[in-house]
Amino acid sequence: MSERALVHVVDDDPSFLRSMERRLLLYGYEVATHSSVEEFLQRPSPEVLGCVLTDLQMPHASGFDLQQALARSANPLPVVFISSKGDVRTTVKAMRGGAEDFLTKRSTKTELIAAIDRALKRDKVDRAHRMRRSEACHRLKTLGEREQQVLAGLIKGMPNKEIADAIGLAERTVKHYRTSLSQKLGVGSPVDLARLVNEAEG
Amino acid sequence: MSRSSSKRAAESGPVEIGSNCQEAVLCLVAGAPMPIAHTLPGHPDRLFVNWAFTRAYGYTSEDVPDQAAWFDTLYPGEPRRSEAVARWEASFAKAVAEGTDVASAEYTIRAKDGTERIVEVSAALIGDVVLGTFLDLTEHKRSVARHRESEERLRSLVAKIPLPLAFSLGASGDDLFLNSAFKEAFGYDEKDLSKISDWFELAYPDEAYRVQVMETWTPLFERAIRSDGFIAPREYRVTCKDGTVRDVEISAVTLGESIVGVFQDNTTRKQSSQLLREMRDQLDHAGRISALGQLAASLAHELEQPLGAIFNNATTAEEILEKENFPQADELRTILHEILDDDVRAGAILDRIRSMVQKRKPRPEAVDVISAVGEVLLMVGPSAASHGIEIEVAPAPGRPSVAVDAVLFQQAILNLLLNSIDVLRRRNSPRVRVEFEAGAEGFLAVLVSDNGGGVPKEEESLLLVPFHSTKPDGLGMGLPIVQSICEEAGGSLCVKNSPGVGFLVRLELPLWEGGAR
Repeated sequence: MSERALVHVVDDDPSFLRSMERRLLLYGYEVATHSSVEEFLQRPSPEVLGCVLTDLQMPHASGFDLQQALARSANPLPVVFISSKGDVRTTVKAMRGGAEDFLTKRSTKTELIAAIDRALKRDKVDRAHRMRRSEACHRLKTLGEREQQVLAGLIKGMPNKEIADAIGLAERTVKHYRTSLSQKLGVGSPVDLARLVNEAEG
Repeated sequence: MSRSSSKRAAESGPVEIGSNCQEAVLCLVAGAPMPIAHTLPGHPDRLFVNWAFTRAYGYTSEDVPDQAAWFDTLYPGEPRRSEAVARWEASFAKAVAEGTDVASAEYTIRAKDGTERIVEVSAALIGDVVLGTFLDLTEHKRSVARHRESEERLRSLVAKIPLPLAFSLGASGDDLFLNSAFKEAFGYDEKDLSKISDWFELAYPDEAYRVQVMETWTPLFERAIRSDGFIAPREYRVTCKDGTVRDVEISAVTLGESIVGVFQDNTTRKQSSQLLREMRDQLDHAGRISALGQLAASLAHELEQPLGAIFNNATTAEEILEKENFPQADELRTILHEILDDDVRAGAILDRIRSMVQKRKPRPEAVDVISAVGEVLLMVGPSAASHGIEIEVAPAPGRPSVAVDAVLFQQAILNLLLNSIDVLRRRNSPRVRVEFEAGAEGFLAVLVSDNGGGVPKEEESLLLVPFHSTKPDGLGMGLPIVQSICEEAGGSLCVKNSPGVGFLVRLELPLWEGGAR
């Protein structure tokens, strides 16, 4: 990963935590370790690419608790569980919760890197998606009421004339609003406009 | 002079002897130690009795001077007298007619002291003298009667004893007597067993085994006769009349020529102890599986961490070595490789154990708590009793059944009782109490408490932690296993520790609702 990425490791066993940190550093990741779910949730949250490797069974909050808390947060990082082999029930439960991947405590280099990179890639996609969405929302908010009405007509595929009739304006005025909204949103064609609205709606 | 000499006389017919010789014989008779009465030569009516007769029966020659006086005195009253006279005269006439001695016969005479005596009278004819000898049978008869009586008493005593007994009074082993307990136990009666040898034939039909039994029995029997008359109990495989084979402990006493055998059927006792042993094994096995499951789950999690850390570190070190190059790097690589291999191997063992123990699924069923607890008590009772520990089971309202795997439930109760027994060993008036009460809606609470002093306050929180034990050799899985059994059944466990007083463990288990579960 050329981009800066931070891998969070959550485990109650300090020895395991240290060894995993050492290993991931060697593989070139930036690592943050946390000895409990609570500690992880209270971390300063820099807006950088990242993912979480977490143990499932921990004395207080479990890996599932972390998964749920994270899903509700502003920065829902992908979660990779580190669990025992052959624990089907746990796997199913974790998958339903949207777990990115599973690793055993003794994963090979390939397995480990593949799982982390998949998680980071998903985070990158999610993050880009979230960014576009917030940008689109931001831009849409700059439109005036008439511009919004014209935009609504445009993404339904209506010609200027129809829009003018529908909202009770002259066709020329509609053209004027169309130019100004295209300038504000940075896109002009009805297809691009529709995509932007879609993104904003999430 | 004796009976046998008079018999010899009888064989050779009446003795023809001269009067001098007759005198000599009568002289001998007078001093003979045997009671004798005879007529006088030439005076067939006159009687003489010797000193031995006087000593035995009290009468002198003056008391019975003639035959009439003889019969009057020795056989007083009628019809006794006439009967005696008739019998005597008949045998006398017969002897005279046949030229033999008078056949010996029993008479009951009255002695001078008034006692009745049974005597055997034999008589010989010596010339014109009738000479009768008297053998007192009274003592002999009495002892025979006494013997018969005591034999009868023994029989009736033996007959009433509820233990199977058999005895034989003769040296030959004939005339075997069996009591009713014996007949009931083995089905054989006197018709089947008329002598001891029949027993060996019937009870041990397999010849090889019979030989083996005889080889054991005979020296024991011979030793008993020579020494203390006791044959120590030994177990034999006895075949009953109906063909069933039972383990019977046989002992015997010998009294002179008699032998009394005592039979103790151990089959039932053995069966029940066998059953108990099997039950304990089963429980033990289930307990081990359940303990192993718990152990494996805990072990797997606990070991997963260090194994994971070792794996990570060794892998990292190996990868660093790939980049760097310095002397002995190969050696280090080998070492790290071996560390990794062993780590992976250990992990695989854990995985295997875990997948193995996960296969046993508890099967909830209706468990009658009272009888289930009762069965556990059968197992721990003896050990508790040997430490003077009293285990009290309070009655339960109704006869509640809970929905739980029966074996696991018993395992749980067993663990709790064993825990209590462990701590109670060296305490005063040790007591364990098992009680039942209604729990939450649809639950029954089972309470096991003891007065073993509990644990110090600071150890309280560690009670349910696996591998933490208060006992030096404890595994620390007792309570955690009980807890997991309760939780798997949908119930719960709580422990109340009163430091210095004792422990109370309360299990809540779902009541069985008529098979709906």
